[in-house]
Amino acid sequence: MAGRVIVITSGKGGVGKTTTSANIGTALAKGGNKVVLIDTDIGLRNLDLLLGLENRIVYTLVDVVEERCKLKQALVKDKKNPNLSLLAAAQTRDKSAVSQEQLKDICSQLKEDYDFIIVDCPAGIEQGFQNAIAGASEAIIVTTPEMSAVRDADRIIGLLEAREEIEGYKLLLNRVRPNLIEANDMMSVDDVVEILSCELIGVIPEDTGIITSTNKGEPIVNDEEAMAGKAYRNVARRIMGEDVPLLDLTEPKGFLDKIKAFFAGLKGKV
Amino acid sequence: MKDIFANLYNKVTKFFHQAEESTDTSAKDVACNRLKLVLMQDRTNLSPAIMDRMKHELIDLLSKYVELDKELLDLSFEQEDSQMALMLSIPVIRAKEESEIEELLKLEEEVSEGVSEEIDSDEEIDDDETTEDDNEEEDSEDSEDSEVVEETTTESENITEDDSKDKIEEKTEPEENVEEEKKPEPSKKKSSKGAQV
Amino acid sequence: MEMDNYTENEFVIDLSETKNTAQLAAELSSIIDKSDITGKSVCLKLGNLDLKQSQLLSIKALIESIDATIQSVATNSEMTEASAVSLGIILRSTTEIELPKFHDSISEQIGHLNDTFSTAPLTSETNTPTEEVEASIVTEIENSSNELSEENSKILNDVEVQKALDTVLGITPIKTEEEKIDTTGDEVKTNIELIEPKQFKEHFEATETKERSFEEKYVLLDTEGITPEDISENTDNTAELSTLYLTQTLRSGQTVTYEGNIFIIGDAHPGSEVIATGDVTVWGILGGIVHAGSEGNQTAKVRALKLNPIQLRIAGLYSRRNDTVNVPFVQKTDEFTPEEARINNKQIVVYKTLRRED
Repeated sequence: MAGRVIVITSGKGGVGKTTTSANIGTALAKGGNKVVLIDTDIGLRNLDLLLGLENRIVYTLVDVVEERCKLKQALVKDKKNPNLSLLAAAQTRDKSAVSQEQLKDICSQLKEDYDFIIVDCPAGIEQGFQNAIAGASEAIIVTTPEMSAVRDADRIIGLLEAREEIEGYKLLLNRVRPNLIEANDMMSVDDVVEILSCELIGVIPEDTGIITSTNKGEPIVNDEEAMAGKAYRNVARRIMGEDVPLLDLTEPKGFLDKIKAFFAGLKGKV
Repeated sequence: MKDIFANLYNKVTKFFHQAEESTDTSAKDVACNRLKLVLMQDRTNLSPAIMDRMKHELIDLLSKYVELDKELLDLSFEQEDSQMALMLSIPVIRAKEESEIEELLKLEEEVSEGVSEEIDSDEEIDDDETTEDDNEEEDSEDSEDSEVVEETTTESENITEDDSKDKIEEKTEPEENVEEEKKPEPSKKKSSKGAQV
Repeated sequence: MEMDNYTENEFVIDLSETKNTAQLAAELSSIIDKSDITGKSVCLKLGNLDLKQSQLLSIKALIESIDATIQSVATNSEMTEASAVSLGIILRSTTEIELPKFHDSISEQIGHLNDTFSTAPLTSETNTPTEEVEASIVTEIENSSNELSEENSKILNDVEVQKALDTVLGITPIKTEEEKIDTTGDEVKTNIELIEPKQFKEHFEATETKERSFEEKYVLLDTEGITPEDISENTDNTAELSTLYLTQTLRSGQTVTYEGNIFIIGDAHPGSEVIATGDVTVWGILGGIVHAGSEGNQTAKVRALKLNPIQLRIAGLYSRRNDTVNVPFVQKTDEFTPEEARINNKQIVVYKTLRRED
């Protein structure tokens, strides 16, 4: 059975593509699938940092493409989960070092041996992006509920729609802050879905645990308690076909909030 | 005394009603509205300048058949689900008589012929155009045409290449070429596409 | 008092330098971790430390948990004395300790020399952290006479001891207790002199060097199929190669390759690469990937004021930082710990100072 090639893209930088790739990849691997993660952000690689594998990179994507090593030699197995492998990007080159055909070829080679190939896309819409989507058949567009990210996501959706090879794309809403949504300071999940008219695959809450997990090199899905970890695990389940309801992200209300709500309700009745 | 209590009461209730008061101009609503506008513009790939030009052309076209209030005419893109539509609202002052319409159409035919001659012989036509223009009744087109005609004739080549339709469109095309060269064509086609959607 | 009956399995643990029970516990557990004292009977030197009965009891329990026993306790403190007595532990006076010939006497004479170079935590005034000691070999013997202090040493077997004694010229011990050492044993030299570096080096190479000295810091990467297979091996003298002299800091993404030695005055940030066919010396912090002897020179060395590369490669051996040292960012620091890495016995070993002469 051929593997599924999913590209994680967003357009805007800093919304959480690499974090999402690392966590979804780890969660899928935990679920028993053979997963390979590809970092296509050549020159500014980060996926290896998030997985804690930065010390083990000997060969990179560029070495494979320039035939200095075989594909198998460049795949680094995860510290904890042997189901998960990483094909890292080079740090000393830039995105012109790889072409679309080359990346497409690598994806087809990997499809034979792996259940999931998760491609981490760099920010922008130029060569890096074009390379990353070259071999993909599905896409997850990551965005945050703020204007510039949504606008860029819309552009990306437009570009993906125009591409025939991408059969399906879903939206992942990241860094959601339920208390701001409630105070009507941040666009709600429904707003964003409506504006972009794109199906949702998950909602990830803002979680300070992400910072520590990055520093330690341990994806947050390994943390059983963290909300973001739970949300990412749910996304992985949905990718595998399960129907999982969205998490309730609202935080428990304080006493003062309850009083305010009570009086607000009264106002209407009086 | 009553005032003091009233004030106090208001303050207290205000405190508790904070959540409700800001619903009208919440940051989120502002963001949503701006975003929708911006996205519509992005999706249709038209800049506001081009929208304006399209609007003027439509005004000119429609003015032949009906007299309309140019200031109140509104042209915009609307989105429903995943469909985009071009919405044009036309306040009509009066419909023109058939005779008026026919006269206008005739005049335009003559103008367009003059324009096609222009392509062959470069500078001579300038005079022809201007004289013909003087005969035009429609105000908006006069100054625009004369301005246009004084511009290079390379742009008029675009006119002949244009396969479309109305001779009237041919005449008004030079307007677009004043500002940009090739862009008008593709954008025009896009707008029509949008209208059909 | 069973002073005279030293059995082969006797073990002396010297905790007299520790100043409080926390240090004592740390010292004790690290000693236990590193030394093989299972099944041995232990003599505890506790110095001036005051220990309550409960504390002493827990130490006793700890020692017994690894199948060792406390034979006796030496202490200057009355409280500890009392605790020991109540627990039934034999006491002995510190000044009268007759140490086995090859224990403390050797340990002071040889200084920091021991066969694994990492088992002994320094309980010296310098308070060197044990981790650093584990990772390196202290070789500045000639300067260390003042730094010497009592140490806990692993039991050396007789053969090794003999060798050590043969090469040891001796060091002046600083503790007064040493003067009372019973030196009736034949193997103990009474005149202790400084060790020459050369002889020290010879001794060091004679004993088996285990990986422990660098294992804590650098782990060899799986060489099967990951590292290049076709690197030939040679042992050219790197001093005869030309040298590239750089006076800048390398940032992430920058690579320096040279046929010869590379000398950098500055740092090499993580993400940079320094590749030389000869040695690599960084007068600064080395944090990126470094490859010395890139064409197979087995004698190539990597030196830095602060050796912290993401990957340390010498010839065909690739090693990486241990996962516990997971700091991808350069830690700028005023404290420099000059170190040198070279291949020894098919492992990459990190030394605290440089080889003076070959």
